[in-house]
Amino acid sequence: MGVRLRAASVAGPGHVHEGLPNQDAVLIRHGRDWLAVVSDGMGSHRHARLGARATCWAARQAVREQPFDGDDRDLIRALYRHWLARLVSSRVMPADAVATCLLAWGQADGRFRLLQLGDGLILGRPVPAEGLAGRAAGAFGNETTGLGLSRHYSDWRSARGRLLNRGDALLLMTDGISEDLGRTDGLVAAVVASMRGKGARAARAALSRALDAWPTPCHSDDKTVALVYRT
Amino acid sequence: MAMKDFAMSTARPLPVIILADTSGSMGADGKIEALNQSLRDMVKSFAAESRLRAEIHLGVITFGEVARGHLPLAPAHQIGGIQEFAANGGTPLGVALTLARELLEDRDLIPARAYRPVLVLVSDGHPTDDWEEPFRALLASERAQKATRIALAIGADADEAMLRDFGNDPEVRLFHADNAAEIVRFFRAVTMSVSHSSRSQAPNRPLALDYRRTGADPDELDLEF
Repeated sequence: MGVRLRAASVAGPGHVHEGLPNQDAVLIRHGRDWLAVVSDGMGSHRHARLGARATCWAARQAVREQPFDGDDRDLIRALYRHWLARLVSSRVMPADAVATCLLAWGQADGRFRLLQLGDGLILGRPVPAEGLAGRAAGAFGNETTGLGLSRHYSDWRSARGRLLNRGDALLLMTDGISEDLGRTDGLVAAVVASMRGKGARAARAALSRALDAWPTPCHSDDKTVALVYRT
Repeated sequence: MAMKDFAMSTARPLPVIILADTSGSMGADGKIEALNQSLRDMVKSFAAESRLRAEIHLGVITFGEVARGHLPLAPAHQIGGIQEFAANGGTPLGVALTLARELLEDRDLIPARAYRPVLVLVSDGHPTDDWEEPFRALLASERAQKATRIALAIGADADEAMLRDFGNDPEVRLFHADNAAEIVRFFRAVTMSVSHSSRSQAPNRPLALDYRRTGADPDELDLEF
């Protein structure tokens, strides 16, 4: 049994309408271990796109230097410091590049770690079946935090688990998708099933088509998804 | 089953709630007529919005003699018309604030995916009931306190201190209207602002970002930025 990673990201109709680029970013890497990151650059900030891309880069640097069995706080601090360094090198202020961070980092034996800061959703099969992070009780849509805004460890959600059986999976998505979900029960299994028989390129095309054809009225956000599943 | 089968079939709402004073004093100098015309124009303008990013939902609570919800929060493009309000009785603002708080706290009417609501208070007089406790309750409500609040003081007799306390948008000072035409202008300004917001990249943009350092907080991640 192995692990496959798939991802897709499409610009939302709102950005397409205004001629703006996709402000989400996604990264999937598979070597001795594997990594999936999705990030949503907050559209109200000037360098949102850079912030999201820097999140993916920073996550990759952080997992390279941190032990898999290490402390969540150390991993977060490493990721955040790489993100800030990337912005400094681009002469961009953190407040101008606020971005969410959803990360899944795993090993060949199926063990995984999850981190989330800000909106979006990490769903797992079998866990976390209900999603990793819920919004604060009184919050409204798009009322989120992110790198460049949050300074507190308690803003992060984390979990650890294991992909043991064929079909076990993790689905990371930005809030352009998660805010429009009517239900989540069965979603991970459905997305895994839709990947059957598809190579990486065909899988990305299929996911992109599904996101481009999103049926919720007035949907406007960029949409990004990353899938990790056990084969 | 495809991914789209898990998606909502309804748009993300941007709720706008009008708290309109319809007390007896609004009957003078064409004020109630101006309010009625302004609300009709607002419904038409919101209904005509492109709904590219958000669907504007409008609700109206009046307070004159009694306070009541006249227009349940509904998509503006589905509102067929709005009734003419008559000016009558005292100014039970406290009950109106309670109705507004209950509406803002109702997760069925305003789901978590909704954009930050806008609450507009329009009044020409001094409240005749105990409004302070309901106002405190609104400010203490985890959800209701997050609404953007804008106020219009009509005439020199309006309780401006109260109305100034009501507003929470640093970009928007307390508005004054001394005549019917200015009431209409105020509603046009609110309509344009909400419409612009519904088309913007960030319909929910926070009013202010707090970057204050909090000192030796064990929860802090000790980051230098």
